[in-house]
Formats: sequence, structure tokens, C-alpha cells
Amino acid sequence: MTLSFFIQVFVNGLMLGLTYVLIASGFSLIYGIMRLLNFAHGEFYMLGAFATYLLCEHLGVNYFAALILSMVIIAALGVVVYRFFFRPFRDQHDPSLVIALAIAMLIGGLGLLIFGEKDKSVSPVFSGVIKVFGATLSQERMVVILMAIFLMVALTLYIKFSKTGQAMRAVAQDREAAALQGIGVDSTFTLCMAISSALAGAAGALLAPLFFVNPFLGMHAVLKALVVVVIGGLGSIPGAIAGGLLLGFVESFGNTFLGDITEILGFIMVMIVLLFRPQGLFGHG
Amino acid sequence: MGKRGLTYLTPMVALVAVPAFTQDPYLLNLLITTGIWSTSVWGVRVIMSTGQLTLGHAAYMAVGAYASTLLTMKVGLSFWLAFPLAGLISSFIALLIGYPTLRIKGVYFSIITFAFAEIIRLIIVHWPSLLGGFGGIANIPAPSSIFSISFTSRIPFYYLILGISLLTYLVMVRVDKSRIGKIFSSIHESDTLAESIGINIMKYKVTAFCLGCFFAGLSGSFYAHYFNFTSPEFFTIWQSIYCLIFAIVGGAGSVWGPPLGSLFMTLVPELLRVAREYEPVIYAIILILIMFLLPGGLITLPDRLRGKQKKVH
Amino acid sequence: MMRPFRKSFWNRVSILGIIFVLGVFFPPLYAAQKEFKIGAIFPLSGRGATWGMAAQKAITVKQKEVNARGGLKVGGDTYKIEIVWEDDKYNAASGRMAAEKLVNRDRVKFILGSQSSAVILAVQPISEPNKILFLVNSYAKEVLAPDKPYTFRMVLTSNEILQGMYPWMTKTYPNLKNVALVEPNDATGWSIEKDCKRIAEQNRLQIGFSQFYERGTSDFYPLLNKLLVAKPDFVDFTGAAPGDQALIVKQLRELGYKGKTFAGTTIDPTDFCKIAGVQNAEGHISNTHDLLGAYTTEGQKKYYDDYIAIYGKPFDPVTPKYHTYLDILVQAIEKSGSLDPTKVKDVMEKIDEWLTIFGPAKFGGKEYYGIKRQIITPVYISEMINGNLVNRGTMMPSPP
Repeated sequence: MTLSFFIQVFVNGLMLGLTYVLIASGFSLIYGIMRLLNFAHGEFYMLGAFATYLLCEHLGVNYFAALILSMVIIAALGVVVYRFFFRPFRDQHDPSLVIALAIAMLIGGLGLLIFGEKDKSVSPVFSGVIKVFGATLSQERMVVILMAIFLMVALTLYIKFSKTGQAMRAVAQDREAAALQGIGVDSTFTLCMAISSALAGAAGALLAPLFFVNPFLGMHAVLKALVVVVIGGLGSIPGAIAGGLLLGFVESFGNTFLGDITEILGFIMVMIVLLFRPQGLFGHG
Repeated sequence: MGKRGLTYLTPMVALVAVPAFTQDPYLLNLLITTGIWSTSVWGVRVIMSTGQLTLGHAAYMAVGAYASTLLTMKVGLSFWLAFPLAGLISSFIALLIGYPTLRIKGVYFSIITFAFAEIIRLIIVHWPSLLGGFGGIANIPAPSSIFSISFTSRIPFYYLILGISLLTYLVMVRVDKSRIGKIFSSIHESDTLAESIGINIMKYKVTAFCLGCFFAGLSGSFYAHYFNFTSPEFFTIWQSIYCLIFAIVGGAGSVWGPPLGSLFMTLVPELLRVAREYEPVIYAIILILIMFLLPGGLITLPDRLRGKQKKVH
Repeated sequence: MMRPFRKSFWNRVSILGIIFVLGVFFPPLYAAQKEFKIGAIFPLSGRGATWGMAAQKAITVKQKEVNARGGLKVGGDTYKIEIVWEDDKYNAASGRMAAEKLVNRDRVKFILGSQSSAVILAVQPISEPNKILFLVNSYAKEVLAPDKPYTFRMVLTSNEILQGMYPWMTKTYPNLKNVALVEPNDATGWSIEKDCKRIAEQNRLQIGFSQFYERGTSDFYPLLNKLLVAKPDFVDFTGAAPGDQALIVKQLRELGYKGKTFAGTTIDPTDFCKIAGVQNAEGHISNTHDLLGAYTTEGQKKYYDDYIAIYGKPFDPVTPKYHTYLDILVQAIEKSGSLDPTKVKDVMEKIDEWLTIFGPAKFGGKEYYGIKRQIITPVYISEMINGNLVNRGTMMPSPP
């Protein structure tokens, strides 16, 4: 096994990890600020992919415009779902769990009814492969990697430095104290939901041309997101990044060297993290 | 139980008398399925009563199902021995898992139960020589004849699960009313407070967890011998989620919640068969409606009709 | 403890509930008019819906054809075929509940069913003792057994398909020595992998690599990275879902793989090339064939026309293989002159040749399964050239 083989393992891990980061970051954001495990998050990812598919393949929109439009559409959808379904149960723990699951079932079911069961495809914008220190990476993957890094940097900067971002962190830390300071909890939640859904939509839009689009993408995505945010720390964006990359590298390494036992590795990592450091790598207790 | 117990005689008599009116195997199957889920969901409820939401209950049903299957088919035990053993094995595994994990609270506990459930399912899948792998284990024998009643038709199965459900109900009522039950709910309300008055909360949380998983094991064992077939596909994360949904939809506040939730959620997909491809969507809508109208679960229906608002956790 | 209002409330609800349930679920008492009800359990939602709906389309085409000519001719009567479709959601518990309803409520005596072995294995404890003819698909060997005489498999499995395709591969590409296997980590994948290994070895091919992937995976780079080290002459991913197959082909080519890609299963060439990329898909070998191409028959042309008449374009090339379900059942019933499943089963056992749209077919499998219940229809091989399926060969697998 040559050096380029190992570099390929690393590059594969990076790619896989960043796709997980894209999907998990919004999930983590919602939990951190709203204390809600949004099981419908995976369905927003699926809808982002479908929005891009419809815009590009049926309306002939340029891919990058479709990417931005998809983010906006899914963000709006997220706000609607929050306002009508999540907000009424904001302080009720058990019903909000059932609601999140029911919304996931609803969107998944509607997706199948509306779009049909066949796999759809979004025409790739970039073709060809490039060599990175001997490892192969397709151009479209390179674009996804760069976009993912860009989005994560933008998100982190936003949360850290913008006023609304700081408001979100305040609400995440202590909801009542933030409210006493005059921060609108509801508007913060709405914004959080919008950003999170936009991120899910972006993930769907970015990955659609690479893979395929069907109504069943949601469940797998949300389970991966759950694993990532648990390892990284529920509610922490750096945690989602670290957790996503870690899972990506572990799976790349595992699938290359350990075979199909890899499927169990993610869950074992979750168990270990929860037993010894339940708040995750970057979480706050 | 005393005098109050007799007031519940009407539904009991009705349930016992059902086979006298109809032997329709389809209807009996629905009631039997309801019974299986009720038993398991009562387990979920007792765990919830200490404030822990379990997202891995199906794994303990799986342990019960496979334990019972192996004990009857490989070790040659009678079902009547294997059945309670299956429950005990489930609760033993719950004990092993419970001790390290129950000190974790809230959502983290739920996630760890989910992770463990997946690990159990993957172990079953990756041990095909013993546990049948994906194909599962077929030709599981029905319970052997007892008191000269043989389990060739559905009716003995019906009475068996009725008996098991009744047993589970009685245990749960007893637990609710007893000192242990009150300690459970005090831990649910505030475990720091309970600890401060000297309660060993870990001991009680583990007890509740093991008790809940015992009944999951029993229901799994019955499931295997009733269907004559078991497979890891019966015990996925979705089954665990359904257990939790049944508990919440029925209403975790009352011992009648689990059977009500199980009955309702078993009937709904059957009634929705006419909706064909719209069934998943309508099912989801019904769940949402119930949460909006009855956040405390179906058991709060009479209260809501009278205009009372119940405080929901 | 319940206060009086609540207690009487629940008493009233229970009584109403019991009346409602008994009323709804009591078996209907009307006598069936000259209508023949068949049950069908397929994955119509969720994962697996692609295959379930493909089967539904093909079966419906046959159903409409028979009903258009008046119906099923049994004895002196004609019966319109009515199919009760149930969704098994590709899981055994739902499939079992669906079977309960079909057998005990709809009182069907014939069930067409599922692609999931788990569903079939869960349904057989009801169908076999009740002597219900169960015509199935799926890949697992255990589905057919001597103690299950009422179950027949109506579609080829990887066992038969690969026994046709692997010899063709070694004959057409004599330098092939080394095959890599990629399968999903589920029941189908495991069954198929066993068949691939066995049949590859029978054809003196070496298994250079074999690994299962987690269902839901879209990024195969980590797995393919290792696969390519084995330098396989061809890669076989028969058990993978159609979308996954296209992705594996695409990613193999991106990573520089130059050998043959192969899958012993049917694909829709348009969807496949869209996802994989036309150039990447070039040379892919599969068990599909162009229905109107070199191996066409009158039956296949008619199926094509009937399909387009009902569903419009584009034609779904995955559907034709499911036509045998109803086609053979109709023939068997009319030949036996009876609607009794036992008599129909006997006819299906006795008759040595059936006419299907693919030409003559028969049931075989006595040696491999222990009972002659596996249909044997022609295996087709085609290669993807420039986005189109080009037929390369056909053979009848020798019934094991």
C-alpha cells in the first residue's frame, strides 16, 4: 500500500466528514438553542436536494442560483414548521419529541407521494478529477469541500460576532436570563430554525449532483447527524465540526481497513462518549 | 385491589368473553398484538416514571425473543420455563447496561439507549450461526400444551396474552400505589431533591429500568412463539420509537395509558388500509392532532372534554 | 383511582369501542360475485418501493389484459380478477399484519408477494397451514423448502441469474480471473454474496475482495479505495439498490478503475446513466434487456404496448420480469379448471412448460432447494453502450 493510498484514505475521510458536518451543524444548532432533537432535520436535507432537483432539472435554473434558492426555501419551510408545530410545544418535553417524529414521518410520506419512489439526478456542474498528492478527488467533491468549509466558517463567525448570533448563544446558555436582558426568545428561536434549515437545505443542494435524490434520504441523514452531535457535543458548532470530521475519518479508515464492522463503530463511539464524557468533545455539561 | 378493583370488572369480563362471540382470527390477532405492545409499553412507562425516556426498548424485546427462541429450540426447555427466563435475561442485561448509563440524565440517556439498541441489533445480525442473521429464525415452536390446552388455534394465544397483560397491569398498579412508585415519581419530579432526603436514586432508577425491561423481554418472548418467526428486523430503532410513541400517545400519567395507546396505534394503521398510499401521511397527521388536542395522552380525553387543562411535563 | 365521571366515561367509550370494532372488523357477509380476489403484499412505501411499484405495474398490466377479454375462465364461468394490494413497508411485522388481513378478512386463497425474504418467512406460518398459494420473489434460499409446498418463486434469483451470466463473462472475456464483490449489509446482500462466491468459484474465478456496505451509504470511496488494491478484473454489485449501483460505477471510474462493472439485476438505463454519467456507465454488464431489441417476442411487444397504454412513456424496463406472477397464475388456474389453491398447486407442479412473454419457462430447483418451485426463465445479458442497452446474449439457466 502506497503513500497515495493512505492520502486517499485521509482525503476520503475529509470528504465524508465534511458532508456529515454539513448535515449535523444545523441539528446541533437547534438542540443547543432550542433544546429540541429535531428529527425532521433529515427531511429538510431531503427537501433541499429535491428543491435543487426541481429548480435545475425542471425549471432550468443555474445550479448556484438553485443552491441559494433552495437554502431560502428550506429556511422558510423551517420557520413555518417551527411556528405552527414546534412553538406550541416549546416547554413540553414528551409531546415535542412525538411532534418532531411525526413531522419527519409527514414530510417523508409527502415526499414519496409527490416525487415518487425513483431515484432522481441533478446534472453535475463540474466534471473530471484532480489529483491531490497522489489521491484522486473528483472536481465536484472539491467544490463541496470548499463550500462546506466556507459555510462552517461563516456560521462560526456569525455565531461568535454578530448580535443575533450572540443572542442565540445567550438563549442557549440560559433562556430566562436572556429574556430578562430583553432578548426575544421567540424571534431567536425562529432565526435559529431558519439558519438550521437553510444549512440542511444547503447540504441537500450541495450533495444532490454528487449522489442521487429520493424521498428516503432523510432517515439516514438524521441518524448520522445524531451520532455526530453526540460525539461532538450537543449544541456546539465546533463540536459538530469536530464530531463530523471524526466520524468521517473513522468511517473512511474503518471501511478501508476493517470492513463491514465499521457500521457498529459509530454507535460504539457514541456509547463511549456518553459514558465517559456525556457532554461530548466540545459540549458544556 | 379490593373494592375499587371490582369496578374494572366490566372491561375484564368483556375481554375474557370475546372469543365466545367471535373467533375471527383477524380480530383476535389485533387484540393479541395490542396485548403484546401493552405489556412492552407498560415497561416503557415504568422507566419513564423515573424521568428517563428510553429509545431502545425494542432491543430488550429482542433479547427476550431470541433468548426464549434459543432456550426452546437449542436447549430444549419448555416455553413455560423459557418465557419467564427470557424476561429475567432481559432484565439482567438491563442491569448490566443500566448501572453505567442511568447516572446519565435526560436526552443523553435516551441517546445511549438508542445506541445500545442498535448495537444489540448489529450483534444479532453479525452472529448468524447462533442467531440466524438477517434471515432470522423460523419454525419457532408454539407453547407446549398446558392443562391439556394445545396452542394450535389462536384462542389459547389470546387468553395467554390476556393473562400476561393482566399480570403486568396488576404489577404496575401495585408499583404505582406502593412506596416504590412514589419514590419513582419523586425522582421524576426532582432527583436532586430526592437525593437530598437520602434516597439512593441510582438504586431506584436501575430497579425501574430492570422492571421495565423484564416486561419487554416477556413481550418479546411471546411475540416469537406467536409468530413462529423472529428476525432483527422486528426490533429496529423504529420499533423502539413506536414503543415510546404508544406510551406518550396513551398517556404516561396513568396505568391505563399503555394499553390505550397500544390499542389505538394498532387499530389506526389497520383502519387506514383503505387509504392505501396515503396511510403514512395520515398516520403522521393523526399523531400531530393527538399531540395538539391531548398532549397528556388519550387518557386525558374525559378531562379535556370537561374543559380541564392538565399540566403536562 | 378514577372519579365517577371518568369511570362512567371510560365504560361508555369501551362499550362504543367494542361495538365499533366488532362492526368494522366483522367479516363481510356478502357472497363474492363473479369476482376472483387475489391478495398482493408488496413494499409500496418506504425503501423497496421501487421494486414493489414495478411489480404492481406489471401485475396490473396483466390484470387489465385478462379482464379486458372477459376475465378468468374457470369451469364454465368467467371471473373478473380483483387484486387487493397491501403495503408491507419492506418489513416483516407489517407484512405479517397485511397477510393476516388478506387471509382472515378478505379470505383470499392466493397471494402474490414480496421482495423481502423476511416478509415471506413471516407470512409463511400463516399461508402454508391454510393452504394458500403464495407466489413470491426475494433472494433467500430458505424461502423455498420441501415443507412449504404452497410457495412458488416467480422471478429468478441471483443463484439462477449468475449461473447464466458468469459463464458468459468468462467465455466472452477470457482474461478475467479476479472479481470483487460489493453488497449492502442486509438480507438480500448476504444471500447474493453467498451465491456470487459459490458461482464464481464454480467458474474458476478468484474472489479478490468482498465487503458489505452500510445501507444508506452514498460515498463509496473508502470501500472502493481498498477494493482497487485487489486489482479486480470485474466488480460485481448485484445486490446493491439501483441508485447505489450507478454511484458505485461513477465512483469507480472517478478513481481510475478500468475493468468491467457488472450486476446480475435489472436497471433502468436512463436513470442509471443520469446518475452515473453516460461515459462512466460505458460497458456496464447487467441482466436487463431491451424489450424490443434482439430477443423480442410477440409477448414482449404486446407487454410494451399495453404498458404504454396504461402508464404512458417512459417505459420502465425493470417491470417485465414481474409479469410472470399473474401470467402463470392465470394459466395455472385455467388449466386446472378450479379456484382451489391445492388443485392449482398440483397443476403448477405437474406442467413442464409454461408460455411466458419471455418464451418457454418451467419450474425447477429440486436439487438446490429440495423442491421444484423456482421458475426458470431466460437470463438476458446486455451491455451499456453510449447510454443504450445492447443485447449481448441470452441463455436458460440449467435448473439445479
